[in-house]
Amino acid sequence: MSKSIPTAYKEVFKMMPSWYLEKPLGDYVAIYMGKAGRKIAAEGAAGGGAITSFLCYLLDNGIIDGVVAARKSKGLEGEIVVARTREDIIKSAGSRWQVLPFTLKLKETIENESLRSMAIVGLPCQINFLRQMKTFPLLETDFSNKISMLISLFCFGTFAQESILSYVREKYGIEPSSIEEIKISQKALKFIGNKEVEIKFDEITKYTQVGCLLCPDYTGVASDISAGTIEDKTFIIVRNNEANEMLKDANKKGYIEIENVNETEIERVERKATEKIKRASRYIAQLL
Amino acid sequence: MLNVTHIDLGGCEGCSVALLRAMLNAKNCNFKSRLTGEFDGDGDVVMVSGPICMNDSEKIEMLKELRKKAKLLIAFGSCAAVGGITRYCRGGQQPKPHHMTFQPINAVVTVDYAIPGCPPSPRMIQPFMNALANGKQSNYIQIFKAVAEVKKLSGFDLIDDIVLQNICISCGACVLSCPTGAMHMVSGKPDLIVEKCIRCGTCYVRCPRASQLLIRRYLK
Repeated sequence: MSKSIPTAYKEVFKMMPSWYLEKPLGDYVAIYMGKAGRKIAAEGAAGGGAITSFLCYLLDNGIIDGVVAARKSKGLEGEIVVARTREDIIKSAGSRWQVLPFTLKLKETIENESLRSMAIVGLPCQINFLRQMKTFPLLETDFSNKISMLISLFCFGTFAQESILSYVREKYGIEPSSIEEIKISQKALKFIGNKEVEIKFDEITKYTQVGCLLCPDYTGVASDISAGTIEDKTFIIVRNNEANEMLKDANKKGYIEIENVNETEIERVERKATEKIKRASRYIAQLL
Repeated sequence: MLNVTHIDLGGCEGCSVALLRAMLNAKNCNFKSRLTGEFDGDGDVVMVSGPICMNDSEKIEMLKELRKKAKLLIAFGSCAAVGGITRYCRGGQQPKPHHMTFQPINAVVTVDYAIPGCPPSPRMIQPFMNALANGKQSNYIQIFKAVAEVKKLSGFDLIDDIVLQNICISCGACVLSCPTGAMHMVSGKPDLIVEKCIRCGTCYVRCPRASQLLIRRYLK
């Protein structure tokens, strides 16, 4: 390699659009800490966080008539669900943290389900192309007019499925086919299968997909609302006024509880976002 | 108010129809098209649809002339932007084209923006014109700028540049955006059914990784 990586890395870092450096969280109008409100908690749905409850609000008030989201079907396998009622959403509340990006079927699901207006919950990469699809629909079949809200989850990269599965089989003796559930906490992944094993993130970050190492987007800057869990609350970034009004209304009606965030929390997320931007510039420099 | 002129170099007319449909209701645009007989070859924005035939010296001269007059030259549709399905033209009827007879227009002139799509949907034209008018360089506009620098984009390139290099993240953007269903998932990664790919380039600009690399590679 003729160029030394540190120089190239700096060059690429300079080439990043200015918002990457000045605003690692992208454009936003407000930031809140949120959790599920009394109205949802009272129904016995303990699982749902702020986003689950907010989706219930959107459905109940007729702003959308469906939610397309990914949920875990078994182990690392994901599947597409179209939730049309509040019960559906609460039932799939455990799907807040998706290990694998969902693929496929989105088009058929949307075309078959005769939805008119819907919210999509996805990862930053998916929100990015869906926003592109919405802004500049290149094909007649693009269903962009059906998407009324894009919600992005924070993402620091996803795992390469085969490598991580063979790693946990070799090292911990967990059979991939036996994996029932994978729980994510702040610092570790908990695999529940023929054995229960908790593995620290530091140990398995090297099994991140290479493509994710090139991605500079931590929060999903193209979304309407970005959300990520911090401790037991949801960190919510609101990117336009309409979404902000809806969120405030949901708060008033008791679906969610939102409060303002202090600077240190914002800085913490910004640090994490900047970390991802730096990582991306480093890897892009190697590739260009 | 933008003065937009459209000229068609040939092809299936899908792009012309898309433009006409969009321009009927266009706001902030003065639209003229050679198809409607109002063509006078100038305007701030010249939109060219269809590929350039390298055996047709008259058309090549016209294209060069257009480039001189136009403030912005836009290749509209896959054939004009990246070659599209005309890349497959072989023999057959007169003028019995060879492999290399039809080229994207940036083989002859510099292009400012190139919009792939077979054809691009009429709904994308108004937002695009708005973006041109207010001069805001969003990430998505920059993709079209970067496409103007390349002479080919297709499912083949997506497989080569992204999937085989292992930077695909299995997000499914390409499968969702392929107009012919040439992209499908095999073991969690996209694969190309080569007979179905019409080289329109839609998958490439939609892929979060590929579009990002396009911008980094071709725009400084």
